[in-house]
Amino acid sequence: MRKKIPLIYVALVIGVLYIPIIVAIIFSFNDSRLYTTWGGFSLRWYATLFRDEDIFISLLNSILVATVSSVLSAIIATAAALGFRKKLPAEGFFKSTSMIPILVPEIILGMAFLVFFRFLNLPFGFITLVLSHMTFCIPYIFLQVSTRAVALDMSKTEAARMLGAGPFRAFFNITLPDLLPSILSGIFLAFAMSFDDVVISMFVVGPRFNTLPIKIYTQVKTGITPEINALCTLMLLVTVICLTASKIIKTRTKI
Amino acid sequence: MKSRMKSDFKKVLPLYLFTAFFVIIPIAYAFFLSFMTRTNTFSVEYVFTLDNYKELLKPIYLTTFWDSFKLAIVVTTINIVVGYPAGLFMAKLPERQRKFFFAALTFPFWINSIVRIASIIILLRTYTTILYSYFAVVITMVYALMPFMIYSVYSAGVKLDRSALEAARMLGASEIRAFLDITLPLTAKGLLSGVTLTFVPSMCLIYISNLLGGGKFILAGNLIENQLIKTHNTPLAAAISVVLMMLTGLVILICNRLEPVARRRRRAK
Repeated sequence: MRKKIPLIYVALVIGVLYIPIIVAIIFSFNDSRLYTTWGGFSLRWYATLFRDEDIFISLLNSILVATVSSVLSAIIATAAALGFRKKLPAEGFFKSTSMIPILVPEIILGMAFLVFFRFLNLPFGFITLVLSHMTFCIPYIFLQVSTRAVALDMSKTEAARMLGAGPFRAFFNITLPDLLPSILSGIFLAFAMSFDDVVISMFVVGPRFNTLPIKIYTQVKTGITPEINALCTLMLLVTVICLTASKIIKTRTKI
Repeated sequence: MKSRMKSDFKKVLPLYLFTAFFVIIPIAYAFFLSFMTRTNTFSVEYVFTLDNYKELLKPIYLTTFWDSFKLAIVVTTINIVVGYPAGLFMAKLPERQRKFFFAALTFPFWINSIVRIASIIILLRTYTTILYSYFAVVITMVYALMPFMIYSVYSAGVKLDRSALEAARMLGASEIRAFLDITLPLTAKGLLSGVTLTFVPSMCLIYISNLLGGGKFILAGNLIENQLIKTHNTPLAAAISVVLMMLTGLVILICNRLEPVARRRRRAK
């Protein structure tokens, strides 16, 4: 029994983290509006959710912002991870300053972006969201890719170059396939971080461009409807699909 | 060789430029604004002043900062007390179970935090009477930050050299002795990085205080939000950000200093 204590404790603590999620799933299928009673199984909250045009538009906005920011960040971060295999001027300075966005509380960044974008007179909305999300997507992807890039076997690339492959061909045929799993897992992580961001987005969203977390935030402030449980369950489903897909990619590339 | 370096430099150039333009300059600009004057028309005049920092010494701001600081201490302490053993125990489990719990720990990260918090609100509203209380804010913050603490401790715990621990036990050290002399110093790094990941953020998670405190509990982060959006006092908001940023730096610095101390303690034995 004594030996089981660590296992029970870990299961208990991590299990508690799941209570809100499980409750949301169960009540997303509850026909009753009340949380105290079970009114029978129903999909009515999913129907309400699908009719909610605002939620749908902000969901599309969020997907767009997260995709554009994580892909652009992946390009910048991967190029940098490859470049940093050699010693370069100002390397230490930029390596550490590019990490600031994941070290400093989001609200500080949010305020800095707000005043800076106002100063630049940028239109608030898509552009400001992508630029600000890229600042924290880049370090997440860089951390994933750089360990792999350092361990990369250069002899293959050099052999290809010697045999007459151009730099681009060598990159796309040899370097990229080797790095792809870590780039993809970096993109997944960055996508999730961007898709989930509340605090920074709060300061840089535009009057006509909302993201899903901001939309939900304002809705929760005014009052919660069971629709939100349906949304939670759907997000969970999408997450499970994405994680399974990334796992399949990883195991396939290993073989 | 020189052209080789040039081509490598080209690869890092986008990162250099992006970081300079969208990380360093915005933060530097906020820092600069914190020393500027606010005009009566809610805009900023480029005249140097220390008034924003003097304003922060007024009792209303000091009390808010202090309350927020105390809340951060409460939240971090609970996270250490509950999360440190969880991370350590998890690291000691057999590999299969360890992998399972690791996946279980990271999974909730992928679900929108606002959606999870909405679910907590529903739970608290339906089954308890604590919604919009100090206690509700505390438990939600603990909930939101706990995975970071467990994760940090766990990462340090799996790297722990078990042979030293076994040797100490074999040589007759009590379980408590072995923990204090070996486990604690060697996992201090994880514990301290857990603290850096949770302490200042718990002064800044404004959506938790807004949604669960019913606006009654103001965090240091809420001050920034209020100054920026409600009272339109940008220089003051900037000054508060600078103070919070310095606090972040200070916590990181203290934790970096404490780590070698913990290690040295072990070597001295």
